[in-house]
Amino acid sequence: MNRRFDCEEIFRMLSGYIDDEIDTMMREVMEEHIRDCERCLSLLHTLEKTIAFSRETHRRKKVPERVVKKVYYEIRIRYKR
Amino acid sequence: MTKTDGEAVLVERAKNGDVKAFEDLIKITSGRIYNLGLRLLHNKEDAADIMQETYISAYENLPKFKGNSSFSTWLYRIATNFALMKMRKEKGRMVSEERLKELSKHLYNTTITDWAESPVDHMKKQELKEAIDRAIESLPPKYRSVFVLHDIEGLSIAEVADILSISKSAVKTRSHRSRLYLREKLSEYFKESGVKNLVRK
Repeated sequence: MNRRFDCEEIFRMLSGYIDDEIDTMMREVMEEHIRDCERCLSLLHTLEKTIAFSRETHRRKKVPERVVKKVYYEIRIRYKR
Repeated sequence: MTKTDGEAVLVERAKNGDVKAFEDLIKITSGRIYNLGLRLLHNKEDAADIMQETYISAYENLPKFKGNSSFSTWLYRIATNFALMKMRKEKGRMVSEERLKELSKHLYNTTITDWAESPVDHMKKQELKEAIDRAIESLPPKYRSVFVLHDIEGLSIAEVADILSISKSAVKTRSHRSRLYLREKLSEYFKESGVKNLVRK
């Protein structure tokens, strides 16, 4: 089997693998390849870490009370019955 | 009563002119909408503006809300559209779509190294956040919105497709290209910042 073709295919499917959007059979084929391929394994790990760091550094912040109050005020003033 | 049922009751009351019910809806959902603005635009004032525009538009268009998707998803759609309009006016340099399309191919000809340890152990979390924000900001709006909704907000591919009115396959493609690009930018950043032992030899 052509090794180069395998890696390119794996590269394209790594996000699907991370999102669990790949069927079981294909998952097994990918895992077999990744076990023996340091490049694909490194790419998988660094993609997973990219997502994890992005989430970690963007934890949800509390909405400032004044921002919520301003929205209430704008709606009350515009649509006063 | 589930959270969505609770929302549905409040929506019905708000549709019948109950402003207090709409305020309760704001209370329940504003955390998600404000943070979506922050994550897309990286600026507190813009996030507050997006939030205000979203709820005013939602209130005006409430009679048109048919409940085909949840109220929160509908709000996400409105907020994302306002954010996309703001993003399109941004002056900063963005990566071209051509470059994003070529990333997979380009990867095959480069050395891929794992990041041996968590950079959070070596550098301040704020520095890492700034590096990630800069990278996210250089994504074109249609890629940035997919990355933020899917990978940061944690919405499913189907939900993102619904919010952005694009196909699931378009979401998958944009998500994959965004991740590859951000991975590349972070690799460059880790090398430049000289975090020892971070890039495995």
